[in-house]
Amino acid sequence: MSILEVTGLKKTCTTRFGGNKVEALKNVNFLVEQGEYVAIMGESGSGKTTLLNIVASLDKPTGGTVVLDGKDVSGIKESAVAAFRRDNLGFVFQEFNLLDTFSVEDNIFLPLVLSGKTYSEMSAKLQPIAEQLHIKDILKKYPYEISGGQKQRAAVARALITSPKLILADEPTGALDSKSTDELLRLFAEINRTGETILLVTHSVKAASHAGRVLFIKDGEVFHQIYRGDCSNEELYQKITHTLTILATGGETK
Amino acid sequence: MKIGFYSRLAADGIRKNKRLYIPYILTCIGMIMMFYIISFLSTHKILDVMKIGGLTMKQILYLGWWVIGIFSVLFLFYTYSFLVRRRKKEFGLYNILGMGKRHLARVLFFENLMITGVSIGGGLAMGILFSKIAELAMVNVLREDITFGFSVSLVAVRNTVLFFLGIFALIFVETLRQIRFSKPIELLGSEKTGEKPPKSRWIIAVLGLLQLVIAYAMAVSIKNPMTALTVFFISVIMVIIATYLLFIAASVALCKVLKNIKGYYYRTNHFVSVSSMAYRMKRNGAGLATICILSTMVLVMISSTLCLNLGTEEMLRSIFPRELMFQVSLGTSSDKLDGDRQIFLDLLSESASTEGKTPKNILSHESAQFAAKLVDAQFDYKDQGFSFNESEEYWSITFISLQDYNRLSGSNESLEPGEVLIQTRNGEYKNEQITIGNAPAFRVKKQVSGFEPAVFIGLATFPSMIIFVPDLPSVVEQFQDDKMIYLFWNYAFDVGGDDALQTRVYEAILRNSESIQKGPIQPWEWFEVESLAEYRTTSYSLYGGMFFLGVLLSIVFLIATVLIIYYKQISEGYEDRERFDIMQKVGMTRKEIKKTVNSQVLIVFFLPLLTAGLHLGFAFPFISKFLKLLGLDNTPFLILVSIVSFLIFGLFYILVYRLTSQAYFKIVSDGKRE
Repeated sequence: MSILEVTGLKKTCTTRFGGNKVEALKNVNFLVEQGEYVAIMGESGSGKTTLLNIVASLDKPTGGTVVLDGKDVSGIKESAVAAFRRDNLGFVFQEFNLLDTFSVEDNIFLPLVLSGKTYSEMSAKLQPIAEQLHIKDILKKYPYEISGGQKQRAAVARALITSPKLILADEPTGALDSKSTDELLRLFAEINRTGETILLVTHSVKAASHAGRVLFIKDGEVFHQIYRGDCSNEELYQKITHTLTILATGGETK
Repeated sequence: MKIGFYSRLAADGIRKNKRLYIPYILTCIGMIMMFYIISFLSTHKILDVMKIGGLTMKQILYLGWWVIGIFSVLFLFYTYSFLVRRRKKEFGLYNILGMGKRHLARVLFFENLMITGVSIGGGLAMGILFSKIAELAMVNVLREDITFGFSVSLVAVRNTVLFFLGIFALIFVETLRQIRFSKPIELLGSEKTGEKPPKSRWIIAVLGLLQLVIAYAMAVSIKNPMTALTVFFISVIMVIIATYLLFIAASVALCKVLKNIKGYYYRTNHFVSVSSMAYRMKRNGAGLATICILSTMVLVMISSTLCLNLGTEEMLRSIFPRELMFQVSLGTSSDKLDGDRQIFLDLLSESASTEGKTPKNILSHESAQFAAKLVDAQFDYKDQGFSFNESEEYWSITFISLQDYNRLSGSNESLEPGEVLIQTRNGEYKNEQITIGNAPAFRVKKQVSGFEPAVFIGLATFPSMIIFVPDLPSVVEQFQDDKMIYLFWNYAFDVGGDDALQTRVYEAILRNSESIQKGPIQPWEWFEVESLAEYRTTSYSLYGGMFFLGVLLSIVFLIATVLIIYYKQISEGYEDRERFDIMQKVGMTRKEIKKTVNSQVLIVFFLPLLTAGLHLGFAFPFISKFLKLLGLDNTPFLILVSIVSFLIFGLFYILVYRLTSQAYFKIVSDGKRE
């Protein structure tokens, strides 16, 4: 069963002074199955962040629908959007977006506190996740005291703690060094194996090569997709590179 | 061309930061306006025209002039440093883009020049505009009936311009110093050096609390406000320091405690506000303490001076039982006394009749009066050396005969020789005996109250005692050797009618008595007269003047308080914006953000108001005693005035918070749209 159905998605952005209209998304269609690990690739300005924002209900599409777990996201009332986002989606951002006023633990608790959970409930939920992400020792520390990799793992924990239906990651490795990147990608794969559905937006081939399926976006449309099949990460890496080369050089199909 | 470039850059800087600069400029305008008004008033012609209270008012205004001046320096300095801190990033960017510090200084120079020009121009314009209203208010408070045309005082303009040019120059130099000693990379990051969560400094918190308790105890235990003024000032300073310590250290400690109460902390509307408070409490604390102290000052000033002003009539009545009070020295030849008295009485009624009045509510008795120092339970009337420190022992003593007492109070007391009744005011006399000089001691049979003497028994600031003796002439004789004591005839009455009429009667009496004294017989040696109307003018110029100054200073302090509150909200708004942006992404609704803001308002912003209320409460005994000394002995009235002042101030405070928290919310929730 598909957890996410994106059909005929369109987004037209108007520039600030009302002049040019830019079509960020022309017609995007794809499905994400339960438990899948999908990477969306594209160059800067290809519309991938716009797509993620619409899926995350942070932005409204000009046309088309996004159905998450049988529910039309664009049909949710403004007042319920925040709660919907909180209960169904987990976010991991390039800039970590941890609040420096909170300790790591409190940062992770934030969405749960917003949903009105008690401390003991939250604490019980945190234990296994902290174990899995190796952040048990830094829970009491503040963001300014820990490294980028640790920050990103804390952010992942915050995304996981609500047991969301879908995890949205926007360039999660963008601000990390290579060692931390490897560690994070390994964690994503591990999380995916435990049944979480992940939608990853990136332009890093390395990050994408860990996914189960890679979608390529160009000029506001899904241009191509690659399934992992039985490939290893390295083989998938090759395939992606190959596709990207085609995209960049001979991809002017119309 | 180049100058044009820098000035344009400076103008741009101000325009782009208008949310910060406009309130600052408005504050400068407000301060300059008040400074001009007070300079204008203190040099006003009316104060020279006024016969009695002009000099008093001048002194009061001069005091206010100093207070506003000093406060302006401190406050504008503080506010501008806050402004510069917020703009360091911009300066850093200019610096990195290749602008030397000298160029930056040039930009800053133009920026300061513009602020100075606009502030001084606007402030003077507003000051001149409002000086007429202030002048009318002052004339009204002083109960004068003089009108002047619209005028501008060039001296006041010159003083104001010079003074504020000085302040702005100082601020400019200080800003340059700050820029000069910092590296560009520091400039870039200075706003982002997020403070580490402050450690809770329990020792300081406890010290602050202890100091506050001691200061409170000191203020409450003061018995005589005149002698203990120094003690009171020390306790005021201690309270101010303690307030800062408590707000800085104890607030952090409080946040830590709240954080540890998991059931409280992990709630949607507490979670964000408690954590962000703890994080910036160090800075918050100082701001809140300043708000608290300014609020306390406003409250104390307004409630006490308003009370004095409203209670002046009552105060006058306690000193003046009647409108005109005469103290007549009839001489010693007692055989023709009655006839002489009659001449005096005729003089009075004749003078009153020219205004169509007759003396009413007559109080008449004899008395003998002197001042004495109470040393070791003994009154010494020979040493007349006087100093304020000893005022507690410096008594005004009045002898009145028992006969007069019984007649005027309608009682029927009797005394053995050597026995006396006493009535005290502003002091307590607990001994059973009264020893005056070398004379044999009097035995105090009873302390009485409620006797209204027809004699002005001394300023309310000193303790006074009326001694009722069985045989007044012999007592007078007893002390006669030292020529320190005389027998007087006291005669007090009401004329009925307004102050002007009373004054006319008073002047008529003086005129008529002169013509009698020029005649063949002198029925009396001399007399003194106390006029309520005259004293009223003096009192209103003093208490009205104090109230007027209280209002002026309160306006200044309120402007400052509003600006501090506003800046606090704005700066926190900018800091929280990013944070709330993240929270919106994580799933917080606008409604929840608003709720968080409100909870923050509740916890943080009402703390200064409540503390100010507490300070006022502990200053109350002192204020009450002080007013009592001035003759206003009406505690319920003072309580009422204080509570009403507090409530009105509270309403104003709430209003300011409503408005500023809107500004805060706008900044916080606009984050995404910009």
